[in-house]
Amino acid sequence: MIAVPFIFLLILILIGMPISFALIVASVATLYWLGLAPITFIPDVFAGSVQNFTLLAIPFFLLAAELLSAGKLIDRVFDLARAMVGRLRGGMGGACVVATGIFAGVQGSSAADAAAIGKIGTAGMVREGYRPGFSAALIAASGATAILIPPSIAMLIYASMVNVSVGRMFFAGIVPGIINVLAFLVFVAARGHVYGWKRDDANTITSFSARIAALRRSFWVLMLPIFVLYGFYSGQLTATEISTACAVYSAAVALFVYRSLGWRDLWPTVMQTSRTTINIFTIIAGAVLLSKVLTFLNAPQLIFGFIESYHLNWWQFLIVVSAIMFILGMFMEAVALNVMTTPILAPIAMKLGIDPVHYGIVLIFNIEIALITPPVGLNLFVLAGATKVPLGAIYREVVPFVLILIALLFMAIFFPQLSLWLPDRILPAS
Amino acid sequence: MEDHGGEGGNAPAFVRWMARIEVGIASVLLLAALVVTIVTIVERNIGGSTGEWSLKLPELGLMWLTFLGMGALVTERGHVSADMLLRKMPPRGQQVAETISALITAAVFALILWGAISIVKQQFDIGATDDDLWDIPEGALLCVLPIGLAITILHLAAEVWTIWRPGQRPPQQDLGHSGT
Repeated sequence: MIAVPFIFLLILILIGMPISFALIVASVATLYWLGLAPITFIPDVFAGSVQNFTLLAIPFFLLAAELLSAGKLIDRVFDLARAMVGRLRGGMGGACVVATGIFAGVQGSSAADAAAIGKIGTAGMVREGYRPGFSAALIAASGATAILIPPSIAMLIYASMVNVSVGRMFFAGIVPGIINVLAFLVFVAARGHVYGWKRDDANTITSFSARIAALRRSFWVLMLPIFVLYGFYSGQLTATEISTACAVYSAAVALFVYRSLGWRDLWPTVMQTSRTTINIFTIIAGAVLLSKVLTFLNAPQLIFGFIESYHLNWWQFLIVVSAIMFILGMFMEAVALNVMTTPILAPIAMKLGIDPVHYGIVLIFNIEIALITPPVGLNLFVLAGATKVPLGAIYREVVPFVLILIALLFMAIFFPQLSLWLPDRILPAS
Repeated sequence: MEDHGGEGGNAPAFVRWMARIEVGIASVLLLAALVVTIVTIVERNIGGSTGEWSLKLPELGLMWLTFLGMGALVTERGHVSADMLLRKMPPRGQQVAETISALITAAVFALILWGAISIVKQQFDIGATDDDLWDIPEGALLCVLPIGLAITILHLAAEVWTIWRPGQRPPQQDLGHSGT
């Protein structure tokens, strides 16, 4: 019975139905077919699913990202990244990895991250002889780190569902996020050696004075992640309030400091943020509904029964969960994957003694993999759309990045301290 | 992120305008939620308190903007979808698949609309009010559910009309639009 909604969902997604609507239709079809609940139950779930003060941080972080993108502040970040790692073999590829990593620290959306660096980064890499498919795959994979490095929309959604501190989740993402960026950087540098990719000219872009200049040019953008983390560290502000302050700060930096955004650009930016917000929250409403349907179908009990019958311990459970998510992630959108699985799997994880923050980071790694796993990988589509590189070429080249992320996922599973060390020191659980 | 929205392709002009107005209202609600949150922060930092309404109002704004704007994104082709299979189909096959998709969605939303109307009517009947929001009737706060669903059904109907209207249609929006 548990397969019924998924079969409906897959068919609907394949005929091109928007994912949010497919989630709703599959849930309603299952509810009706199996006679699980009255029809008034559905609008009730809709109303409850989107009325959440923590989730309100999402549109404000999105607004901050839109303002920074519209203000073309990513160019400054990209220049800084080139100055930092341009001297490596494959410096341009490395710069893309670092730029997406830095931009991830400024906003929380992987698609926005990949789209922001997509055109400029792919064009630069192709110019230097990288294969277009590899260039696009690299940025798609690097963009996915945006959900691991704070602020992260995926972490906000998770934290709001399991009542874990958003601040602890954000701090927990820092160490794995840095390791993730470094892993991609090492891979690009190693590949650069094999293929003989160029380094950036040491006298122009990567000289000491050029680095200082690039740092000064992007200083106000770089203050944003520090500002976010300090907000959580101080304990004075909630996630929603910090996101509000980020949106105001981004507007002020783009309008008054860099003057790269005009007053006339503000309204289109807000309109675009509204569209993205509507998109995300319609998916959330649909995914919450499907998760309720799965609960009606006793999914949590079935999974727990499976764990008990096979005497799975905590790490075996996390590996089984990751395998399930890998398969689901091939076909499902990331927000839906997060919202649908968390209410079912997170309580089981906690019953097995897994720290909710540790489970959260494992979940985020799984979502990151889902973002770049063919055939339905959001970031792959973003890059194909932005760069016009054929999807098939990106599919082939993304495989090593998926493997790297799987290796990092295992590391996150077996070394909980990577996730817990920093939040335990800075924001101990009360 | 690329701006895919705001056009509405070949949809009738009044539907495109309707979509723009809906997104416009959603944007005003978003800005209102932002302003209320800023006021809350400022008020708290000067030692005051804005009360429960300052938490509830932005939450409510989020619900309203989601359901009011849901339909507009149908016309603007802004909802995330995976259309690889669809793109491989011949044009007539695409038209049929998109029509089936729109009609199924409209039918299911009509069913949910019925449930939403029942809930709102029930709230008005029992005279439920929200104490934190100046005793506004709960039915009025929730009426965005049937309104949003009805608007979405209208957009889906316009979508079917657009699919079978002679002339070139814009390509389906792919997965590049989510803020995940």
